[in-house]
Amino acid sequence: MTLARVFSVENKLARIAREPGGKTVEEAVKGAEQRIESVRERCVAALPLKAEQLSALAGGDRGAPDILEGLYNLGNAIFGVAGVYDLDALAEAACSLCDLLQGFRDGEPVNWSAVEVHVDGIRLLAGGRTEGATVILDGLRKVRARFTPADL
Amino acid sequence: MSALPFRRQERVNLSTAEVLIVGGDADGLEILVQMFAGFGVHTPRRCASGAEAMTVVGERELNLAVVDSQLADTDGYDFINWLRRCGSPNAWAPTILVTGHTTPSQIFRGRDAGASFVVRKPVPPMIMMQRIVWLLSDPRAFVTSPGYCGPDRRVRSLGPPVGMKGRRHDDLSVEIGAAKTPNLEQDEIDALFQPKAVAR
Repeated sequence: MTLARVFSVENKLARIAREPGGKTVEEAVKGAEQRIESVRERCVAALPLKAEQLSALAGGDRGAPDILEGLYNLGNAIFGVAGVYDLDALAEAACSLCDLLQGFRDGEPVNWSAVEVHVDGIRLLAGGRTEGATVILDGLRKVRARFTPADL
Repeated sequence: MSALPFRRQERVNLSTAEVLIVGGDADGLEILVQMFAGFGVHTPRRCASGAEAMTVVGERELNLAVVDSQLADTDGYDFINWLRRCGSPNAWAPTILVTGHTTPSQIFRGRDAGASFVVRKPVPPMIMMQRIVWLLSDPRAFVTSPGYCGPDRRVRSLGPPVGMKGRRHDDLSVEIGAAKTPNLEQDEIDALFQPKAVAR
């Protein structure tokens, strides 16, 4: 005997969204893009602060139980905001750090030098440094490739 | 703006929709809130933690939940898992999980927690709107079972396990065996897509 139950539920979102009025999807998308752009300054200004928090955490107590999770969460937060505002180099560096940390969280031995190199790169890029970004990213890619499987 | 993957003039009225947006990073949460405000949602309910979001779930009837994988006190997967089992009508609200750094295992985890869709950051408004439009005509039933609560995950039939005979007369095994004819060359494949004049 199975305890699974399969049933239909009313799609209330569809009922509301089909009511008269509202916006065309084109207007809605444009409206959203404008609203997101309106908070660019505030969100981008917070990135160097997040990078400093990352640096402080990486330089702190490395035996703390949640340190890898904390670093991963901060890297992830930087990745999310940088990607929205087309800060591609910073987004790639943060994503690379997350790749690295994901492997360490899954049980690989932690290589703190690899983490430090990433944190330093993220600090430079979050501070608005664009010259040398290609060199920084090349270096991070090589470090990442040493410690993570190719399909990550 | 690039071509939209749906009709540009299709109307969507989200002004009265109750939308819950949960995210642990203040800036990431602000971006999502602004996106939904731009879509026309009058008052998106924003929460930084799973605990706050649980309170909102108990107080309001939600029409949509947008949940970041990373919350202040827990993670988005656990929150969705709780939501699907909370026992209120909100358990069946369409739920979009937004992930940052994303591995395949995280996508499966989101699906198995009961998310209606998983969207990877950065999320352009066009992609989010596309998922909302899909949700408006989502035909999936809901499933409750001891191991899973959420939208029906069965989106394709893989047939009976390899080496086993199916119970239905039209069951086909997923094992398709070796090819009996040579592979098509690329120009032969291309030719299949080229229009040709046909004699009548």
